[in-house]
Amino acid sequence: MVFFGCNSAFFLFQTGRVVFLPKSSILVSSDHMPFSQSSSGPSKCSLANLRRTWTCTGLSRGTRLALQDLSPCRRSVLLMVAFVTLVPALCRSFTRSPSVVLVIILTPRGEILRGAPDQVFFLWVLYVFHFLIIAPTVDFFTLSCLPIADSVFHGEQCDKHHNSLLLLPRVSYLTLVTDKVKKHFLKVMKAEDVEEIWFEYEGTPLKWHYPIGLLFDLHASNTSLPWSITVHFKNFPERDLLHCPCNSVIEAHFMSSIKEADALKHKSQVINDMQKKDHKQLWMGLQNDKFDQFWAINRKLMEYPTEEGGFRYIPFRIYLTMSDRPFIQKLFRPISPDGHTHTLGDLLKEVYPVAIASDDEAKRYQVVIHGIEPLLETPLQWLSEHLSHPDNFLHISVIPAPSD
Amino acid sequence: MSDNAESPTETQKCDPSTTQQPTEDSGTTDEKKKIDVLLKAVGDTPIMKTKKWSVEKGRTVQSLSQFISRFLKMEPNEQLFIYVNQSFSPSPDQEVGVLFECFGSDGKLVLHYCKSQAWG
Repeated sequence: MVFFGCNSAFFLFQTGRVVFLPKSSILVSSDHMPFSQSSSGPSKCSLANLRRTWTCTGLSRGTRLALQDLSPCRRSVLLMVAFVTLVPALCRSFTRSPSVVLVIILTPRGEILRGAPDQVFFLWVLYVFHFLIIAPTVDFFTLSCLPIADSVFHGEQCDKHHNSLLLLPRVSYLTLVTDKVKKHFLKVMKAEDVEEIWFEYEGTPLKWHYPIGLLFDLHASNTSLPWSITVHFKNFPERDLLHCPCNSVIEAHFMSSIKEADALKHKSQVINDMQKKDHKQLWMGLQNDKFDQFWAINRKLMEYPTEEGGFRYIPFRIYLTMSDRPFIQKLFRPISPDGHTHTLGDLLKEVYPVAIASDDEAKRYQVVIHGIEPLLETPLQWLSEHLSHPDNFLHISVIPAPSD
Repeated sequence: MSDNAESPTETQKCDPSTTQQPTEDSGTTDEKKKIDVLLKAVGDTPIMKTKKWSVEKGRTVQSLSQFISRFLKMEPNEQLFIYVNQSFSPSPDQEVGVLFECFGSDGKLVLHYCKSQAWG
């Protein structure tokens, strides 16, 4: 924080006059308000001014002396490197938007270069630094802050394992986030060997139309990360998996889930009142991992008439690892007819009582949502509003409790 | 009148209604329970002569969709879209029993089918 403070101070200085020392091509901020007005001759920036600037940025005396000893060219390069490396790193902590970072980076450019003897040369140097630093930064921003499952993908049909390591968001879908994986393996495979991509974990084909976090909780929650998934390009298991030839299939599935959830919550009134562009915004928000874009529309799907106290029915699915059937889905109201709020425990008692251990026996199952075990006393309406996946469903896993 | 659907049988799935032994998976009469499905055509899609069908709860939407395509003698490359409540298209691996429990009315599940996308 202190360092950030001194760098932001550096910004303020940069917006002032920047003057070159006549003989050296140093880029220096000379306008430090209380000092520069009182210093001699605004046209000449003396070393004394530089010293005062550094004082205000909070660098140690030793650092200042060391900097003074550098030749002017090296000093300017060092300043630029420090500026374009530290600022994005610090900004990354505080903002996720690459455009904000770019604005911050580019603002003092004119001030840095004003008075430079060879503007064109330094402009190019500055732009090269920007590119080298910002390009990976922007890529970093596009990765979600949500990822929980790290996946190592092993390739099949390769002489040696070609592994790809990726951070995957819990709330997205496998085929939506694995373009890089596909490209990575396509480099080492012959084109005629490549058919539709599919994923498998310990012999179980992974359904791409289930959210990634749900797949992890069901199959691998008790294993250590990274989650090791095998990628296949042949022998697509027709009986177990749906085909996913392109992103529009994922979009259609996602939107259908949202519509089904709203049919339960609001008799489809809210989703039908929305325009096509709002539906598109929900999908784009998920696809591009834009939380605000998604929730601008999704919040309308989380509203309910005050007199009702909640949704009409709660959209939920309970997945069992020990059963043949894919999931349990039933009609269940968030509020009982006598006005009493239903909890997660009430839901389980009604639709899958085995999941709840009675007082005298050891806990056999864990009830997991997004990798955590919510208290059974949590109101179901609250869970639906806050712990639903982007498709507006509560995906609940019931898995065997780990034996200690 | 209601006839049995003629497509090859699906692997039997557990009855999704509440039971005290959810791991039991064979031998009960509940498994054979069927639900009534009413199929309605949308747009210029051909209308089925028999609209009301008695379908096992464990049948998937995909198998029902394949059955309708065969019944209507559709080309293999033609797609069929199924809709529930005239609002959403269920996932092909969804069980009709679950759809009936959540979206059935008057003791039957109404499904609309169409050769092209009707409700997006």
